[in-house]
Amino acid sequence: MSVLLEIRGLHVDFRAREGTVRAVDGVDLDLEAGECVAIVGESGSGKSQLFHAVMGVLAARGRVRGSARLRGTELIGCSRSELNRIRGAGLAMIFQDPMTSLTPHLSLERQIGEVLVWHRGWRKGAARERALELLERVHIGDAAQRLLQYPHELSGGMRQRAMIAMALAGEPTLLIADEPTTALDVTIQAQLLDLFRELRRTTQMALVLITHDLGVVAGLADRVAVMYAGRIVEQAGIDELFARPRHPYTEGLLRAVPRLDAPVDRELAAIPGQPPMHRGDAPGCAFVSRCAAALARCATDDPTLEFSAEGRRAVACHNPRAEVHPA
Amino acid sequence: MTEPGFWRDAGRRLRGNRAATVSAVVLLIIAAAALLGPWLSPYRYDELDWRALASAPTLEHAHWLGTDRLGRDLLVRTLYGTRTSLLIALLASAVSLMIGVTWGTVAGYAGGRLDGAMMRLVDILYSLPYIFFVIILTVVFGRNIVLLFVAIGAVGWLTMARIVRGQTLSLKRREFIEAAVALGVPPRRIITRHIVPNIAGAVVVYTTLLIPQMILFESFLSFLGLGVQEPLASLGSLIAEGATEMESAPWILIVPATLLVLLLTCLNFIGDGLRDALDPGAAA
Amino acid sequence: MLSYSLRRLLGAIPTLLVIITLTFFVMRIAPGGPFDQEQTLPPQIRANLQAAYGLDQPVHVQYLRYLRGLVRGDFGPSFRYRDFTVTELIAQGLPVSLTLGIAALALALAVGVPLGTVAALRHRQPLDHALMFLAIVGIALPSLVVAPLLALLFGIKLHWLPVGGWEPGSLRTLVLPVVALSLPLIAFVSRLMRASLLEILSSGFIRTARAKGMPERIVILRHALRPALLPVVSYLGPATAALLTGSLVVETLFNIPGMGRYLVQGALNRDYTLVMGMVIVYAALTLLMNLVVDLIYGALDPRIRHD
Repeated sequence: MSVLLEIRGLHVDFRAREGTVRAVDGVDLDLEAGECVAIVGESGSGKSQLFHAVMGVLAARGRVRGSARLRGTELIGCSRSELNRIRGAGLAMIFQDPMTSLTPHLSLERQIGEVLVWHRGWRKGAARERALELLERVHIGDAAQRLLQYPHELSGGMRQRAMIAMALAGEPTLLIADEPTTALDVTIQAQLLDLFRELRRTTQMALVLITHDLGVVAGLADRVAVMYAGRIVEQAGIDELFARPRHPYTEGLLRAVPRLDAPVDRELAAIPGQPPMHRGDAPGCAFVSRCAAALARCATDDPTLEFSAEGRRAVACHNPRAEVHPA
Repeated sequence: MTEPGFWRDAGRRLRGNRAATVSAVVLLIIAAAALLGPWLSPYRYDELDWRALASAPTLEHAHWLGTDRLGRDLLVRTLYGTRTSLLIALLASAVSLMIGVTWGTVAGYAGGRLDGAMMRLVDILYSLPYIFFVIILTVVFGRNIVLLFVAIGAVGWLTMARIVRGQTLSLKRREFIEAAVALGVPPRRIITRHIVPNIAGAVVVYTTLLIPQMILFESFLSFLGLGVQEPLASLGSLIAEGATEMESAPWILIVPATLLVLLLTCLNFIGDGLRDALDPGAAA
Repeated sequence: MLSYSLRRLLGAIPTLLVIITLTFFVMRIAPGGPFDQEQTLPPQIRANLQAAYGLDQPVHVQYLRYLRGLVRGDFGPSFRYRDFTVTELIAQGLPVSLTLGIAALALALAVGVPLGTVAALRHRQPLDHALMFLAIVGIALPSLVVAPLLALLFGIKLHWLPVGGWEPGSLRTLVLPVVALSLPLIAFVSRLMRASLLEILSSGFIRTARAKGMPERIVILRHALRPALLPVVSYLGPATAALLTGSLVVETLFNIPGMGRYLVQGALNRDYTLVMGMVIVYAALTLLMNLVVDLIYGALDPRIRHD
């Protein structure tokens, strides 16, 4: 299988009055064509900033170092015009809050059509037809009418679908979805996840799903990368991760998900403590203060991401759970 | 109730604000010069010096900033004009303050239809720029300078009333007011003893905006000829004079204009500083 | 939109009525009358004059006469300019003042919006700092200082432009007054535009537009500009008030025969009807402008549609 996206040594820093805040602390990640990778982590883990950097939409105070290659083309530091050729065409991204992520004064037709007119040089009429098709593809009813409407006239779920339609317009090989369901209620969430599943079935599109919600991940992702304090601490195929997490943080995350079959009066298992605000270059593992399995060396030696034999699993920990090989 | 350290903290913040403290010093210098200068000068503000008609700034005859067309010493006249402008502005602000606070607290405290009617009047008066009402009042009251500043003050209270009413409305719901009502304290006492002290912060902040506005109004009117009359002078009338003479004697314009700008700038910096000091949460 | 406009216009009538009534009665309270300026008139002639202008009637009768006149578009005779009715004076002055005001507003937008945009796009760079400093100065300097200084510099010292008078065809006489009138507005609009655009540029939908690969100029022009203009449009209301006020100074200083100058003359001469007429027209203009601003706002922002 070919590697679609190759991220190496990506660092993202933000200049703040108190100093520099490191949001992403050296991330390596590979994504293959057609696969779906979920990036899981709490707020502040850097999962969104990582892909904002790849996409070139970091906030003004952000600085990127490192490399991210899409089919061999380097995205970090490339020229704006070069980046614009790729964005909206081979590479697309949708964001968390559809109300603030859609331009309030442009109709759907114009916002979706814009991608086609600009990237493909289509004429308005052809773009309109295609925009209609796209809206129908994401199951927005009354698509012809909706085309002429403005974002504030749509419901939250419909807006997110419209965003997806807009992202699909360029027929991307990679779609990055940044917390697509977080701002929506659970029933709409379920519908959107169904839509993602359908899109994956019908296209060869790769999907990066950024979320803090493990429940969203199951049934959609092939692989999961868990991020903490700007680094990837564990990567695994989804079944493996759920069944046999190795990193103490992943374990904690899974345990924290309330189970329907657990006794009702059992306390929710939370991970004690708070994620670190400014890591800087402090030595040692960032999770050490909250880790039940911490060793002495965890406070002084940075754990590195180590890949298992087949290269499909990785964990960055000095004291991970033992790897269980299938018999 | 406002916390005990409120005013002390505010004072500290204010002193830390360099633009404000520099402006305060400059303002004091100007005010002192305006009050004392005319006494210290060998010339009176309306004294004609036939030896030096419309002369440029010179050390001869001790006309340091020159003279106007009638030979009146410009330095004295400008200082005198500053004094007039300042006095009028302060008194007009005081009038606006009193009317505005009274109107606002009564409307806010009374609520209901009285509030609605009172604020509706404010809205209507708001529909025209101040200056037009003031002009109407100058037609009515003629050139009497006392009535002039009453007139200016009588129009500038609108925004103060709105601000005070807003504050009163939110204060009205606080428990200590409810307690006072329950104890049978009459409304007038409640307003004067409990509400007014607590809106003092907002009132001070707005007054710092009001004073330069009043100076501007008065200058405006005097410039148009509707304000102070000869031989009295204010910065506005001096600027008007300067405008007519600017072809031949530009300093007659430049001196009072500079002073006016200096005065307004200092007041604005002090106002900004006071605002930041009293309400640091509100971003500029 | 049409019914909204009509409703607004109808709603403005009570406000206008209150202003007219207040003004009328306030002016009648005034001690002395419009004929006090004259050389002392023999009492008989004065009485005749008073009767001719209806000033000997009880106040409420005068009021009703005035109102009836207004409905017919008759603002009464000018007490000072005996040969003219106030209506005629308004008709003379209004086009001049409107030209001045609209030109100043247009200049403020044409210069202020681009300046503010450039400052926002060059955020924190020297150009931004320089422009914003100029803007602060522009806002702080009152028109009664700026106007004469401009006249002094460009009219007298440099002899570039004429200082005063008004020739309907000539553009040159327009320049100084329009610039003097619009400078504080340019300063305010550019500051407002800059702040507004900066805020919009950090919104989610701008990020989306960039993520779609739209070139930066389309992001700015098509996505960012319209919402960024909204606060500027809202400012047009207070801007009009500032223009009206400023026009008094500018028209007086540059000797322009507009409504402002008539108003000031009327006030100086205690010409009741003239002052009242002008005030009413100004009030009507303000109310009309408020309606226009609301309509423009609705046109720019689809979330606010007035029906």
